Amino acid sequence: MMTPAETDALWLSIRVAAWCVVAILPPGMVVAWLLARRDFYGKNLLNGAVHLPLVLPPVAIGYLLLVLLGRNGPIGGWLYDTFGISVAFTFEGAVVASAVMAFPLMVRAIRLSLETVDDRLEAAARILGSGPLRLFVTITLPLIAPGILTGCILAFARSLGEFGATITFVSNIAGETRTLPLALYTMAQTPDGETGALRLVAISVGLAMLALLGSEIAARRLQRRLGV
Amino acid sequence: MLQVQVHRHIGTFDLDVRLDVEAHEILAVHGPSGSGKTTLINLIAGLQRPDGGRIVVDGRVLFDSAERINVRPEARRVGYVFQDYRLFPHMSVASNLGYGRHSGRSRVDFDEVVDLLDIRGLLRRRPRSLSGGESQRVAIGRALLSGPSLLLMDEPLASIDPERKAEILPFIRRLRDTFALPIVYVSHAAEEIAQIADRSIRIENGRLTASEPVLPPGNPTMPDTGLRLIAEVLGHDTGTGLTVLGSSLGRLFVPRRSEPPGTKVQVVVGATAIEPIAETGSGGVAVLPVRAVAGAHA
Repeated sequence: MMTPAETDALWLSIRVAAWCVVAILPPGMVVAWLLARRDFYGKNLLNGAVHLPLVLPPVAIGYLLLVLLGRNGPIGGWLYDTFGISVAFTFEGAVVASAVMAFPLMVRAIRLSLETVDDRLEAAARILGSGPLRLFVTITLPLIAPGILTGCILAFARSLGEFGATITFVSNIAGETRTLPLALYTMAQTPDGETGALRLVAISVGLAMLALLGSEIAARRLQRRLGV
Repeated sequence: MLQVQVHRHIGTFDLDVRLDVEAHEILAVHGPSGSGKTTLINLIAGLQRPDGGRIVVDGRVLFDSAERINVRPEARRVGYVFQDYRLFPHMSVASNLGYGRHSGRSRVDFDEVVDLLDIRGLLRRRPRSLSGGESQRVAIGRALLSGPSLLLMDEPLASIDPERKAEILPFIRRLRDTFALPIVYVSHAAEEIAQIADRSIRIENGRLTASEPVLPPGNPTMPDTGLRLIAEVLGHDTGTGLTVLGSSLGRLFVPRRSEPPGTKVQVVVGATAIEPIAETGSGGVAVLPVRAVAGAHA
């Protein structure tokens, strides 16, 4: 039903998006918590840096990543010299590009829900004997779960649609970095590729619908569990 | 016993209060809005930090500015009942009640509290589905079950319909009698204070302006008073833990009092506690819940 190239692109897209979500969830929670709950020197700077990928053209982000993480770049060079790791033009690099683009969406969603958590409930929990860790796990985390879910969905979706930063940073290598949008772009550039391109569009639509359906079910379950 | 002496300065507002509350005593704190009532109990709970002073519960120092002691709220073992209940919406009533019991330091019996507050039927419900009165009873149970050494109540009935208040007041009275807890009860409703408090203090503009035993009987603000009489302490029965009072009605037995024999006390019998016995002269004995109040104007 699907050609091997299409299957490759589909699986690659899903894997990149899944890894992207997994990679940015923990730091996203930390940054969201810092921005929502803490006052510190340089907070505006951090806020600006986090949101940069939302306002810059994705190609610019991809280029910056290439400059920083390429084998000759300051970070990429050190990674290569020290650990022999290079992410440029690899699957991992595609995840990095997606992660950077999706990070602000994850942070915003979690931050917003953190800001709406009733601090009076947290005060009540402390008086009932909960230290900071238990307070976070038993009260804060369950109450921001919908925000975390939203953040994950947004990040997953952003990663599925990611094009500019990916193609600039890790190029368009079949089976390694050629996700659905890149495969679609390749098809569209090929003479007589219209049918192939349309098939890829159909696959993209199907994937998007499935993802939306899944998130809707998850959100509803969560809401029932939270009793709100 | 709770001993508090605190001061705190916020902007132009200055709170400076000293008070003591005995176990088995409900101290009502009243005063105009913004006078510092809530701030006072937040300082006791550790939600706000005094600029200076000392807070001691049963000999345990919770705060002492001179010794640089400031016990964190989670370690203070204070029960706090909020005006807005603050039940955790993502937990069942049972989980809410059990929330403060995790440390194992609570020796309060779960079933006893559940029965006392009459909330057994609610255990599996979610807070969202509870009425105001039910929510507040659950909140009181949650505070009690954490095994507190004192109970703070901040206008616990303020957001409850007048009809429902009557449903909760008896429970609060029962708390004092069942658990040997000092209770600080913030309220500006005179009827509530008259009905449950043993002593009241008034705070105005951050200063204690009055401290008095709650005016017992005959007081028009105490509509449920059915009977008031002066009695004399005749003696204490150590075997039963009761104090024997002599009154115009004969001998009365009340829970152990601290007054020495010969002291005059006022006895208040609530109107709701008096029930006519169908046939008089049948030899039956009516046992009434009776409350003895110190400081008779005899």
